[in-house]
Amino acid sequence: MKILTVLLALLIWPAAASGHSLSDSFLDLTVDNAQISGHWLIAVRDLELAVGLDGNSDDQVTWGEIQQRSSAIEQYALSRLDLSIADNDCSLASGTFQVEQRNAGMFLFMPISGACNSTGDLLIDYNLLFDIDSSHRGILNLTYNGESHLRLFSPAEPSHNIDPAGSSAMANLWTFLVEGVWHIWIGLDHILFLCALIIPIVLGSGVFRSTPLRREPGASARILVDIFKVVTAFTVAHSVTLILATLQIVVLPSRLVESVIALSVAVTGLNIIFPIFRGHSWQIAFGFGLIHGFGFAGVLGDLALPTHLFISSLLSFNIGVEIGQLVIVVLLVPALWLLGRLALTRRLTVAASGIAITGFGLLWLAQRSLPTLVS
Amino acid sequence: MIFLFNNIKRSVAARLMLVTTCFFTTQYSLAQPYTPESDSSVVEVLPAAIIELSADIRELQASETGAGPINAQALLQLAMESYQLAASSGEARAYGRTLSILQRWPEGTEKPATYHILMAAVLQHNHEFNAALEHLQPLTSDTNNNRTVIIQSLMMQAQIGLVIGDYDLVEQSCTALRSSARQPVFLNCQAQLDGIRGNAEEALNTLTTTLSNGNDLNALDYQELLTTAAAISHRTGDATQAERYYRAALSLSPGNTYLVVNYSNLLLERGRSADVINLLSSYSDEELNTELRIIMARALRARNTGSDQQRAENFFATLEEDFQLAFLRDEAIPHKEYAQFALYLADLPEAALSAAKDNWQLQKEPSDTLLLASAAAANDDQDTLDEVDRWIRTTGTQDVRLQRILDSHRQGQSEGQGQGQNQDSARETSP
Repeated sequence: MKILTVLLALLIWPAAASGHSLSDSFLDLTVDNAQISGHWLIAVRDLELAVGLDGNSDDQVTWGEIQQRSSAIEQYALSRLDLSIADNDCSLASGTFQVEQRNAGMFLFMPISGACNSTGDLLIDYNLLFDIDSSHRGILNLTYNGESHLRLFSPAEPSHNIDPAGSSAMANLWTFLVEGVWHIWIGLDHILFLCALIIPIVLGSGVFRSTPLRREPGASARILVDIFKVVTAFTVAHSVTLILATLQIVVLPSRLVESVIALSVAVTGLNIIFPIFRGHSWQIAFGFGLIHGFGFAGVLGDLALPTHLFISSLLSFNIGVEIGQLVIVVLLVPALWLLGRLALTRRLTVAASGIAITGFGLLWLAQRSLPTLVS
Repeated sequence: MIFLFNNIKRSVAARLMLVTTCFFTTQYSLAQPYTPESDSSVVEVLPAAIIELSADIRELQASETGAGPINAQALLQLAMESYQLAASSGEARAYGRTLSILQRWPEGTEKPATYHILMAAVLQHNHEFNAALEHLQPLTSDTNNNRTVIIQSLMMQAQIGLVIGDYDLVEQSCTALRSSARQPVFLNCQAQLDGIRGNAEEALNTLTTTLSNGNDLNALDYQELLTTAAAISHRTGDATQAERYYRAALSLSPGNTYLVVNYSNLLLERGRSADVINLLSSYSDEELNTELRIIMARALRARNTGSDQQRAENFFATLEEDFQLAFLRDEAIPHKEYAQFALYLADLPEAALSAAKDNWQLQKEPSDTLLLASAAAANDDQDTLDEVDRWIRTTGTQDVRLQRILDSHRQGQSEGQGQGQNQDSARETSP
């Protein structure tokens, strides 16, 4: 009961002011051609807790005391770190100790070297201090066969398996490519904008005129050229702004971007019924494409581009977007071609698509630019 | 460096990835390993808490080497001592040590109430509020428990409820305390709730009467009641009374972080940067937590005499490095502190708003709401300001600083004034 009373008094009183840092160690390793090199930074305070450094109990740790305990430190640290490749243990050894001053206090700088005798997945087991301090974390900065990896070790996650260079990079590029395709397919505003640009090119051309004499010569070829120009202009424009926005070179408020994208849908939808662009479709595609690129960048921002694969991930995402929109074009153009063969279906398609796309555009514009009024 | 903080987007994952390169490049380029001059060179002066922890660990190791693993009762005793050290010193490693001892609890052995209280206290410290409540709630409802255990559990439950904005839970806890705890404990619980839910005047009257009568009050009661009175007076805009209460409470508990932070903020809001610097200069760097370092840097920048600017920049650099490390850890992210840093020191209003929103998902104390409103105003984010407005209307929160931001923004909107003015008004109001 006495114990409980003492404890309760402490629990009621808020903790003292504290700028005490949490316990972390920093492991910086390079594994290249089965050779290990790098260093490990472990806080002197943590080593005091783990192995005891203050031999003369004068409440301070001298360089001499660290050197006296160097074998114990080495034995303790290296017994808490295991590297293996394809289930074969790697050898580890420490070099000459130094110290390094950090915000969080003084750290022991322990050079690490070693060798492995196989290739494949690298497994790292870390168990420093977890039995003493559950809040301790190990922060690993690893370069494995030229590829960088950042990992955090905790009592809940004391091991990490690292793929050899290449496989994880390819998986990452594939992920971003799929994300690009996926984003344009689920992004109805981008799809409708693209459709609204292509519909008048196909259905408004002279290729479907009722008599052969009224049909414009070379109209079919011109449709394909115009579609190519529009898709290319849209691609170039949104690629430029996607890169600029992702690199934070140009940043626009998301509400402005989303509102202008909605406006682009409404305007191009209107153009289906009342042709206002008249031969300037690719320029319009370019102009609004710049804004759509900022929209794509917003999605990319949420995906957390890996730092070491930043540019390749960005390009993969962009290629995914292009593949996604090419698929839309490939599906849309034959469908429009079929609908354009009869005057009735052609007119119905123009009217219905124009009204629907303009309607969606205006609705989104209201939702995105006037959220308080709509909600 | 600032460029990288600008990059910080909505998700914590994005922040983690973006600060990684920055951290490893700056850390390894600025800090360099070296060999001390001689064997007698002092590498580190050990804080008292580390010395005590180290001695406890050696003792346990020696005992286990001789007699094998210690039993549950001894584990509880060790955990309690470690927690006492953590609570009195603020040493983060002592909190981690407490947790590691509790996690060694032998399987199949019943866990006593003290185990759950200790676990809840550490989890609360780590901002794992729901996990902490899971340990507390069974204790409050089990009538077989010791009365002291029930009271302690209810008090902790009420405090967590106040932090996460679960006022039904607070009300339930206070009501239960009315019949189980001493009168001052219940009165303080109820006043804290009333002060937040629109009955600030009534709460202050109760507190004033209780404090002036002084019946049945011990030193801890005085400190708690004075702290509550100070916070409510502060929010209702009575700076003179708030300062009086803060100073009285601080005289009883000079190292109380909550009091020092709030009193410093009051001084800063009144333009008394020199007083803030004097107050905080009495604490060592180790005693200044992140929030106090931010306040100190702001005060130094505001006073800007002599070496103030350089000292402020030193605090800025230290804070920047600490945040990079916190994002690398990717757990218990200090959203609130980062939002303050980004808004008041780093001139990154977007990052501040993002962090303030993340913080508000977790914590909804009046200071968290004020920070969110300040960051939203700096970004001209009407949606967020509307959300804050709805929240204070629903809960009845009274805070003149918060109201000033909302009114100023509404006025700015109606007069068609630009974003710049809103940003200025938000930054002038310091949470």
